[in-house]
Amino acid sequence: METKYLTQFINVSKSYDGTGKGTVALKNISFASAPGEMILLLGPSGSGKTTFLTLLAGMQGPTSGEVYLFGKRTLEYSQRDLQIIRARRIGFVFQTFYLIDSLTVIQNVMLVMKFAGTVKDIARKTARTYLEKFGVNHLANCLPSKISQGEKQRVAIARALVNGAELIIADEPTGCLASQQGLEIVELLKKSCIEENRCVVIASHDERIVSLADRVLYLSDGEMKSGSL
Amino acid sequence: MYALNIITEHKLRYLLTALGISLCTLLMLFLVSIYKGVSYGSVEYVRSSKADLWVLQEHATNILRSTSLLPTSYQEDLSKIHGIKSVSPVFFILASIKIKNYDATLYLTGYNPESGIGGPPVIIKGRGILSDNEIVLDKAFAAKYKFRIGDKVPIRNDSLIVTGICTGTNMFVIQYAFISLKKAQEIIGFKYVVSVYQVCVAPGADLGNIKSEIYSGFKNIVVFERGKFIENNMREMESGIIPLLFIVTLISAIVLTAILSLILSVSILEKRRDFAILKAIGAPQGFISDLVIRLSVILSVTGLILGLALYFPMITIVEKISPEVSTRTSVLQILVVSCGVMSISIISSFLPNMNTRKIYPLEVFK
Repeated sequence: METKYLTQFINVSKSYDGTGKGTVALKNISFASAPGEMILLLGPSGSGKTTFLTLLAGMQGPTSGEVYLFGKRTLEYSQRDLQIIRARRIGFVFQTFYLIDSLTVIQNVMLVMKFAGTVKDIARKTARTYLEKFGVNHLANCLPSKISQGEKQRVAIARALVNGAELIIADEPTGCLASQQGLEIVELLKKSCIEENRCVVIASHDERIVSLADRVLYLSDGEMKSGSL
Repeated sequence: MYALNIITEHKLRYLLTALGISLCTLLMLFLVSIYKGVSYGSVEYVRSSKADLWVLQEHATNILRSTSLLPTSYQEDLSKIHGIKSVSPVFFILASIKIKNYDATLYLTGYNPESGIGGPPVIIKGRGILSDNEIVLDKAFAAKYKFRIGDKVPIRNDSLIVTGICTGTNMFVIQYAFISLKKAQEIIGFKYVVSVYQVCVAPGADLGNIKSEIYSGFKNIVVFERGKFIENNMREMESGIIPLLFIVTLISAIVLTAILSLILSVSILEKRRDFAILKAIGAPQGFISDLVIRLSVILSVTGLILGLALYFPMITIVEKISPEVSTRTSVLQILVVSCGVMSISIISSFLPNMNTRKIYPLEVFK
C-alpha cells in the first residue's frame, strides 16, 4: 500500500480476551500520522493510550481493523522485521526512562546503535554528538543511578533519536519530571520533529503540553473523541 | 562489558556463585587426579617391570585381584627353554600388620634382591633390600605410619628394617611393600610356592615360540606378553574405580549445571524489565542469547580460575592429612576439566535462554 503516512489505523479495535466481547481497550479507531508532526494523545488512565502506542509500534496486533506501519500491515511483518524496525526506525521514550542501570549513559545510547548495526567507533562519535546536543555529554561515563530525573530523560531522548528514527513513541515522557523539566523535554521532542522531520506521538494526561502539539487526540474509554481521519 | 556489569552488580552473589563453581571444579579435578594417581600406583609396578612375559596360574589374569600360585620348581624348568634369558619368581601376599595399635594392610611383594626383577619401580629414598630382614615401603604408607629409613616394621613374629622408600606403588586402598622372596615364603609358611614368574627373553628371541613352548611344557598356567598383561591390570583397576569416579564426576557436573542454570535464571528473572527494554528498543534475540551465554561463561571462568588456584594447596593439605590419597595432575587433565566446565557453562545457559524468549517487549508498557 503506497501511503504518505508513517502509520495508519483503519477502524482498529482491540480487546484483551481476543474475541472482541471482553474488555475493549480501543474501539473503532482511525488515525494516521505523517513525518514532521507532533501528535499528542490525551486521556485519563485506562483510556487506551498505552494500547494505542503498542499497536502503533507493532508490539501487538489489533483484534479487528488494520494497522499500517511504514506502509505495510503490522501483521505482515515477521518478528525479525519488527525487531529491525524497532532498532532502526522507531525510538521510544518512557515515563520512567528505562535506561539500563548497569550501563553508563554513553553505553545506553550506543547500545541501540549496536542493534542497528552501527560500527562501534561511529556509534561512540554519534552518541557523543547526541549527548552534547541534549546537554548531557558531561555525564557520558556516569551510571543512570548517579544522574537526575531530567538528565535521565534527556539521555532517553538521545537514545530514541540517535539511530535517526522516523517515528518517536513517547509514553508519559513528563510523568516523572518537575513541570519545567517536563516542558523542556517536550520542547526537545518538538525540535527533533521540526528540524529532523520526525513524527512524534506522545501519550500523556498532561494538558500543559497541548500548546506544543500539532494535533491533539482525545481518548476516552477506548474511543477517540477528535482527530480521526 | 554489559554481562560483566550485570554480574558485578551483586558482588557477594557473584563471589558465592564463583565459589560454588570452583568447588565443583575442584571436585572434578580431584577425582580425575585420584584416578590418575590410582592408575599410576596400581599399574606402575607392572609397567616398569623389564619382564617380556608373565607366567601365572591358569585363570589368573592380573596381579591386583586374582590369585595365582605356582610351584618354585617351575623356575628351573622355565630357564631351560631356549631363548629365555632369566626367570624371576615373585610372591604376592596380603599381610595384615599391627603398627602402634593400628591395623594396617600391606601388599607384600617377595622378589629376588640379587636380580632386582620384581622389585620396587622407583626408589626415592634409601636403597633396595639386600638381605631377608629388610623391607622397602611405599612413600604413602611410610608417611601415614611415620616410618623412616632404619625403623623396624613388625610383620608377624618378625620385624624388618626399612631400607628404602619407593613410589608408583600406592593403590589407594593398599600399598606395595618389598621384601625378599625367602622372607615372603617364610611369612606365609609355604616354602615352595610363588605367585608369578617374570620372564625376560634374549634379544631377538621369538616370543610366540617361547610362549608355545611354555604352554606345551607346563600345566595349569597362563602366559601373558607385557602389553597384554599391563592392559589386563589396567582393566581390572578401572573396573573397580572408574564406575565410582564416573558417577561422582557426573553428579558434580549435574550439580554445576544446576547451580549455573539456577543463578542465571534468577538473574534473568531479576533483570526481566531490562530484557523487555532491550527487546523494545530493538535487541535481536541473538544479542540476548549471547548476553546470557556471556553471563554463564564469566561465572564459569571465575569459578574455574578460583578452583585452579585452590586446587594445588588443597591437594597438598589432603596428601598431608591422608598420605594414601595419591593424586597425579597434568596440564592435559586441567585442560580437559576446563573444557568440561566451559561446556557445562554453555549447556547451563540453554534453559535461561529459553526463558528470555518468553519476555516480550510489550512488558515495558505495563
